[in-house]
Amino acid sequence: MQNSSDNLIDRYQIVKTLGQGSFGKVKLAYHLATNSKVALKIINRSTLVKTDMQGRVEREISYLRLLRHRHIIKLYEVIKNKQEIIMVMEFAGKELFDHIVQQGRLQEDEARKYFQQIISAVQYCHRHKIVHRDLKPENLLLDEHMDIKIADFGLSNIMTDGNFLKTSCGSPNYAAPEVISGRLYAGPEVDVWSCGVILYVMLVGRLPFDEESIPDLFYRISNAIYTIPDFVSPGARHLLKRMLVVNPLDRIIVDQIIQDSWFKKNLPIDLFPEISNDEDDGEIDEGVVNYLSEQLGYSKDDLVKIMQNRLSGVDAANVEEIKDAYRLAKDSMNSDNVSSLDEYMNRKSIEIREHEKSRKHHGNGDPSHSQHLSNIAIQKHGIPSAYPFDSTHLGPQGNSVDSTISILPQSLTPYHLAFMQKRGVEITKKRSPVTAKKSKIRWHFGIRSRSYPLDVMGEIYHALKTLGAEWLPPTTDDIWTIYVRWKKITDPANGRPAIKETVKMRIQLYQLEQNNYLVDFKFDGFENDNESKHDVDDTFSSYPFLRMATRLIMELAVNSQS
Amino acid sequence: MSDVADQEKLALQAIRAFLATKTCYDVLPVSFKLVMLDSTLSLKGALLTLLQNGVVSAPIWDSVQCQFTGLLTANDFVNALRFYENQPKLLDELNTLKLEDLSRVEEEIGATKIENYNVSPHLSLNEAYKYLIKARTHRVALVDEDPTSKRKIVVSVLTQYRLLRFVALNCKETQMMKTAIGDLGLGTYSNIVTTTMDTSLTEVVRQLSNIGVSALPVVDDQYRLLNMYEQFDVLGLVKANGHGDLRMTVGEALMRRPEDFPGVHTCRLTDTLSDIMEIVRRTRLLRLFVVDEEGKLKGIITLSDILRYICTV
Repeated sequence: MQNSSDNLIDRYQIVKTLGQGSFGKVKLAYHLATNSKVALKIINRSTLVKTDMQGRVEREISYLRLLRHRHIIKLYEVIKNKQEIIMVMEFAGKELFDHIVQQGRLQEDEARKYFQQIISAVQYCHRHKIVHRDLKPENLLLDEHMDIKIADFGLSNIMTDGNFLKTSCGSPNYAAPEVISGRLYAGPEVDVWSCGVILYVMLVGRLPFDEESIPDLFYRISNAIYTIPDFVSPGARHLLKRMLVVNPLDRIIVDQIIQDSWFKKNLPIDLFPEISNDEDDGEIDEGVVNYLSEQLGYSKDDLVKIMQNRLSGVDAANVEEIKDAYRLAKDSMNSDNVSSLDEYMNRKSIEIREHEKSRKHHGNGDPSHSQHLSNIAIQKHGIPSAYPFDSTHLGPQGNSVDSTISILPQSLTPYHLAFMQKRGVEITKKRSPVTAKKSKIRWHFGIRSRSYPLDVMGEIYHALKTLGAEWLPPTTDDIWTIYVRWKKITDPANGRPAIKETVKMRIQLYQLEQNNYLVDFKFDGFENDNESKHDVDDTFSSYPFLRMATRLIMELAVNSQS
Repeated sequence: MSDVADQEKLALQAIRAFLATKTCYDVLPVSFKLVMLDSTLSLKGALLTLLQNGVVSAPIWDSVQCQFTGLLTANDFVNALRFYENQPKLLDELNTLKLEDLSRVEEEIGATKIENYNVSPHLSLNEAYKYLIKARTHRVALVDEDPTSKRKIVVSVLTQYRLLRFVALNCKETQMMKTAIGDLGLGTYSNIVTTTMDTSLTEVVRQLSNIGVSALPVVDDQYRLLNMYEQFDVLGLVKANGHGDLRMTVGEALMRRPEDFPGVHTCRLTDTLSDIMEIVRRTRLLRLFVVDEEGKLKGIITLSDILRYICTV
């Protein structure tokens, strides 16, 4: 078997590309040690909403690793490198909707079986405060036993971060009215609506809301204008009508669906296990604590304190987040639903984690193995913050259900283009590029050179001489650093007096790689007229230094041309 | 006094106390980029630089006098466009106009001059917002002085949004602000200048410059909110070579927006500052349009309104 390194990521042999998901490419691969099939979801970091969210995104993905349910695609592990975040996931080969298309529409019993499995998975996630928000055909898969596997649970929370509407503009057929009207709060009710659409599609074989033009489609969804064909049984019809309700507060909730008589028919007993309420039994599972501290970077002290409800000295904003994570981890660790790859991962990931840990702490010599919570908070935003506010696995936290703040759908560019087109205006290509930020300017510090290093030093001395600068004689143990002093009297301008200044600069030649050198200029403080020396810390103004560097660079450029 | 009002009052006190202990420096990120424009640059080049760097304003530096001379914003381009609209003969000058000549042009049309508000970064945030409110400006340059050479140096720019986001990120008390904005009377609800999809840009630019607002709501014939046209949209015209484009309609102009334009935020009179601050925390928000159940425009809440409420009411 040949392993071309191109097709090898970590310990996975890539077979082929399966498709382009909402967040990046999905590839089929084999895990080399167990020969299990996996799907690799490769997320390019540059597609993440904001760079300052990367830390949070990584933590959220780690949290998703804790999800364990037989009808949810498992996330085995997360591989991170500079460019990408690679999610190693359970593989399921078939899409539910290909199956429906083949059959035309499904018989009620078969549709109910899938629907029960979907609701079971959705209930499990909602209980752990994870809302899918983007349930649609691409995310509903069938495994080899023709059982449902839902993909991408929790991902829309992380990736779109309140700007959900923008991404769903392409295919909003499954989106709830409050979503397309731009409401920024998207709770569990949103998934109920989408499940209603999915049930409709399984039973009827077509979409309940399907219009060519986006404004028309939005209109029909916002007013729940759809018809149910006569062949749908009264029981199913009743449930559909309870799910596809415009007002989210009037819509049936998951726990009521489970009590519905059409739903309960042929319900496997083990699909909705009794929830044991053992979180308050006071006993703390050390295994879970270790796992969370290693996986999510919480401090063990904080974890134990919080689970014992000793909240003094603990950041209150984290309490709920940590409790959720604890319950979820405990749940998933008790789960008997384990594959050979699972077992392998459980053994293996400990080694890997140990490895990552030693690497992370190398250098600062910190023996305590987890970052403190407050540190994480500061890393998350560019702006210094006193406490970590946004923990998104809870959905947009703090934004209450009754908030009606929305993004006006008509103001979004795709909608506006459709609107103008309807009024007979042609769409030209003359639009601004997607983001101005994408055309990044490359910054170089210092000057790069491929010349022989001694020649470079010679040129620098020559330029300094031309500028009238002075320098200390080079020492024998470091001939690559020059200490320079430059006295300059600026010309009096517009009635302002001339300014005398003496800037000091340190010039150093570095080797970047073979035959490639960098001349670095470093500000070395000021000297003023009465010869008393100043520390660099005393001064702020970088202009005299920049001016000097500019003159020097210009001089060097002139020399190199002649 | 009701419980909600009590909570609101407590929250305001806590936020003000917090702001009094912090300075403008505290708002700045640990690492950031500052785009500065030399005053001898052409207006067009400067605006393209703003676009390229994805910023909406930048300080101008006079390198002969070694001083900060003003903050270039989209508003200045709007003013320049209006000036040349009146003087078609001089139109070619629009492409060569230098930043240092901008104030002359603005003076001639009687528009607000280029802003050169600046404060020391050591100023407490309490004083800084008072300054912002008093100067009726969205942003102020933070200018420090080198104690040795007595030279000035521009450190960064403090904007209303940055200040509010700082509050949103650091004051949990914002969650206690549960009074409906309708009850607070927050925002402007009368004499709102609106525009329509069929209005020409010439007209809109004139209005933006005359009234001195940063955005105009676009409504349909039943006063339902459709979109907004903001000063920042005018910047997009720089690339397309200015003038001829002013004949197009607002609807056409809005088609040129980037595909990922984040959209216009709306709210109802029943929403609270707690909800608004949550949005500020998550995303860039410069104003909210207040609409009713039918989507008809009722009012506008700007960051100035919110700042003024938090800091002075």
